[in-house]
Amino acid sequence: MTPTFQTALITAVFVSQLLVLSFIVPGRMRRMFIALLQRCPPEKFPRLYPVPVERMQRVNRMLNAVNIAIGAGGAGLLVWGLWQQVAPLQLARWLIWCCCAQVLPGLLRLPWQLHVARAFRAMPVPAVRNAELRSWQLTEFVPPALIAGGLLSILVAMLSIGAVIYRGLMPALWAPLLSLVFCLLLLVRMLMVLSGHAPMPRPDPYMSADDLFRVRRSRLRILFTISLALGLYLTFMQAYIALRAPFALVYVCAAVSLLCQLLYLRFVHITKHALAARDLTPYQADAA
Amino acid sequence: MHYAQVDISINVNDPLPVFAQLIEQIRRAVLGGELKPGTALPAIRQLAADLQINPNTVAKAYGLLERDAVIETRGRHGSFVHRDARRHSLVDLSAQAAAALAQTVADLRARGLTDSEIRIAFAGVMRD
Repeated sequence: MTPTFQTALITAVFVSQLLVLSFIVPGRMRRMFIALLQRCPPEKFPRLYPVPVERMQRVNRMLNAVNIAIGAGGAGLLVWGLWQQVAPLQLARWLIWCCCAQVLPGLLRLPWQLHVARAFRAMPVPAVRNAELRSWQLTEFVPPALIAGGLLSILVAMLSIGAVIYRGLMPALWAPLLSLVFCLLLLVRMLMVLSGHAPMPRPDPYMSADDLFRVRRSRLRILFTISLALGLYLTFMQAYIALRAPFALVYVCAAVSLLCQLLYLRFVHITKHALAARDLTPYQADAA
Repeated sequence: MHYAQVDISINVNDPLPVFAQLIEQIRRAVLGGELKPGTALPAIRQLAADLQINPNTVAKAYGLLERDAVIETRGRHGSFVHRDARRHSLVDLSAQAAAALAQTVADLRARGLTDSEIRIAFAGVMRD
């Protein structure tokens, strides 16, 4: 493949990434929140907003501004790179660095989401409480193939990273060591879930049994899916480094970016579907 | 629905203690056939977290149900509905105790003791 084709490919993926991660996905999340406010206003559904709505809107506005700024910065970088006729491999590196930067607002949102989650759990508990009188099995939430895939994938990734470190194929050790630590954390969490030593707290006192099941299923599936995807990616990258695979790094970077975009779009789709399916009547002001 | 489920509901404002409500509903589920012999019950911590009550309350309910052989605990594997749970659920030790006490109180009243004297004697026996 010629450098011109590689440049065109990276440019197309770059533009797509900027649009999806900085504009389309944040825009859809913002519209979902607005639709929720209209469908379930705070005065009628006070239990749905344990944190003042004005504060939620302020945080959303701030993070959206960060999203737009990063997207604009990425666009400027791309234009400058094309104008300077930068090599496709350099453009591909910028693509990945930009992807990391665009993921940053999501990471910045995490402490805020933890704060909101704590506020939900801290709500006064109703006098009448419901639960399922049945011990749940992990396989009721996650397909056995995904459980096996997640575990195996992470183990193989850890072995691959170990082999690469042992053979001294990486000039800097911080990246593989960081990957190893992250894999270990995921592995420990999966084993805790499998052994039943990870009771899942109730997200809020008013959630219905069906919604509770859906939330737990979603969280467990995310855990094993991330393990599977991360394990495959890390194993592939170690093999790429060790075997010096003949295909250009440009295509790897493009594939990583496209995968990231697909994951973001999938997340928005799941969130929208979950919100539409939720039973919000227990959160009404006059519900017992 | 994702699978057949047995819902349990407790009311902390009910005069009946929470552990007694748990026991009553588990017995009812066993008698009604919703909980079949061998069915695994939720772990104490998980059920306590879902109902947002003290784990000791769930442990007390499970302990009393195990005493009555409605459930059985298999170490770290958890608690399961006893194979003869349905038959054992028909035996209500609390109701038997209430009936026996009622008979004793009636006898004591017939002998001329006042309610205060009966209460004092009962408290003394319980202390011992």
